[in-house]
Amino acid sequence: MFISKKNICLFFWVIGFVITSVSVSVPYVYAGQGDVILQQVDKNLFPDSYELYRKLINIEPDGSKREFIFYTVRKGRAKIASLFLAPASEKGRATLRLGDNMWLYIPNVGRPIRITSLQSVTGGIFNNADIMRLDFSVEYNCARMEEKNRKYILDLKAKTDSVAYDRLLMVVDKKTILPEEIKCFAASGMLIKTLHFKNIKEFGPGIVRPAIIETDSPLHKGYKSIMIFARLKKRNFPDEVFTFSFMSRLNSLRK
Amino acid sequence: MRLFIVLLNLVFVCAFVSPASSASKTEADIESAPTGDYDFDLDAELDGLSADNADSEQGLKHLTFNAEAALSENIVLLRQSSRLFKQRYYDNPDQEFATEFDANLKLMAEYKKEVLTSYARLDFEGTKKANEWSSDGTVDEAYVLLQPDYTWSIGAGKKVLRWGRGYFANPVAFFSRPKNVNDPEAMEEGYVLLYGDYIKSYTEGPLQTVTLTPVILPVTEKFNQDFLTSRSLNYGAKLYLLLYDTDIDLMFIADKEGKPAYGADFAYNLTSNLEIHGEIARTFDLKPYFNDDNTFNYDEQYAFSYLLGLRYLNTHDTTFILEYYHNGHGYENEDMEDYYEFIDSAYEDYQNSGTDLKLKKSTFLGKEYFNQSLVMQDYAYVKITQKEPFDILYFNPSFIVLANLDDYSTNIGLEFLYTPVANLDLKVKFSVNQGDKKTEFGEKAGSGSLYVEAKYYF
Repeated sequence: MFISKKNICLFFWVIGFVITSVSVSVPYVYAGQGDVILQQVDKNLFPDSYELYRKLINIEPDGSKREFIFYTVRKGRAKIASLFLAPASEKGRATLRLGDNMWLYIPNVGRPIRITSLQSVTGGIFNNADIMRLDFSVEYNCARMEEKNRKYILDLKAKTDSVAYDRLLMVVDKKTILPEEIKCFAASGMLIKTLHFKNIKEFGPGIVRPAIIETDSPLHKGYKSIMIFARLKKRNFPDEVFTFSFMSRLNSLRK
Repeated sequence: MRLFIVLLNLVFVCAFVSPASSASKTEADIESAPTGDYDFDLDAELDGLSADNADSEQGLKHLTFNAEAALSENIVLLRQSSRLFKQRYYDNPDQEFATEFDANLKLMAEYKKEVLTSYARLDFEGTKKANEWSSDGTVDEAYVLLQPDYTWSIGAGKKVLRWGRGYFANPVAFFSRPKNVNDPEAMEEGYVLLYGDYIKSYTEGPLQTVTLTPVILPVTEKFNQDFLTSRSLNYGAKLYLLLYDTDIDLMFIADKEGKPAYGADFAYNLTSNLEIHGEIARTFDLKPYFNDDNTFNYDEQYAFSYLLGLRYLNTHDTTFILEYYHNGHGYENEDMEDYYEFIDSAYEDYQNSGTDLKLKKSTFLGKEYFNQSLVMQDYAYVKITQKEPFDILYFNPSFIVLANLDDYSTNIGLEFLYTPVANLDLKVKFSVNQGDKKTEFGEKAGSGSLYVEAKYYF
């Protein structure tokens, strides 16, 4: 008999194998779903409009530290401004970013100057992309997504060449939809730095996110950079705050 | 010897400042830092930053102080054959070096309460030149700013109001002093004025922002005596537009005598690493020209001045600033040659008769007009800065060229800026003046210089 029990068994084994193979490969295919997850990551990291204090500590190989404190306000997906509060040498320095437009205000100079969006505002191993970053989903598309051990692994490709890192590999916790680690790559494929997200904390109603980001870089061995978030609050600002003319007055927003 | 003392001072300042900022830690400390446990209270630090004084109950909120203290030494290698050397050192023709030691203290205070902000910046300077000390104190800025709303503000007092987009020159900066070409980012002294800002933003369409800035600047016996000419009440305005992602400014200045000046500028990012900018101004000026018989007349004229420039960042973190500046009121080669011949004649008179009257007259004309920066018509400026080469963090060397395109003379500089610890900047700059006889940089009194500075912020 052609249709034997053995053959039926074999048939179901083959079908089972095909279904299993397809289901395993599905996460690699659903890049569109990755974009949805990326948008959710953005939403979980920051409210639409907010104010925030951050401290950035650069730890050098000899153990010495360089610390910066800055105040940041953001509205929507493309308007962000930051003001340095410390150290004294940087105090009053402000940056404004409207999409790809970026300005730097230095109190000594007495007026804002337009800078290239890739220009570094101050020294050290962090750059504008770290302190004036827009939402990930504004600058990156998900090229590939993988599910592994209760994590999403998002392979993100920059939408334009105007961003500091051409490719990001983001590990997202499935339960919280918050990033745990981001590897930043140059267009050449070289790993530039890795961000580690730590200390998930409730900042206020509906804002639960990592309070610490640690950065290390194979390009600067022995150096570490730690960014601590504080007083992240939802706050609405008029559009006039995010203007060239308001930069010298950013400090007046602090309460 | 003096340089050695200055370097010793720098080392001393470094040694004095370092322990607070760069506590010696072991490798293990670095490795242990990223465990997520940090031994500081950011909230408490932020409390300290938002109210620097402890008298908040008395209403003294948001009073903050800042200061900059700088020591610097400038050593100039003199060029005894140059005309400006003869003009300045005619009574000491064998002098080979000129040194200047400066001790500078800038104090800044800001008081903020509700919608009112008061700000003052005081500048104290002690200078040792030719073994003689002199001192000076200036109120660089002192103003009150009223901000009842995000959209508008009114300010009154002494303030730096710098307009324009250029890095080394700003022909449209109608309400501020000329820039120091050797240090375009240096703090300046302001003028006493009344000004306002009205900002309007648009969320849709190509026009994103409009800002109107009206200004009134009085010239009286007490205020703004050095502002341009004898205008008694100057008024002007600037209209800023962010249109199609382009910064655009339109501005004017006028007075009762009816000699207005107009200007416009723009800045735009062509790509994420290339910015272009420009300025144009039509202004009035009055300045002296020499006659054939070594006398001179003042001539007044309207002229266009303009600047075009770009800022480019390459993948190696090298920033290029390139600018071309045309000074419509600038002298031509023949005018400068007349001036140098006047100095020759004055020096000859001094040698023959011992009288320096004519040399003093040339010194006055030089100080007010001919020896000023950017005195001729066409200049090119190049500044190339490499961010942290060889992975040396907080170290930025720059190569700077200012070229006079009329007489092909140049000033070439090499600058090293290093921040060894937080709040301490060390700067060393070498510069060379190069050019033929009767050219701007070829006739400077110094052929080269070394400038060393240590600046501490607190």
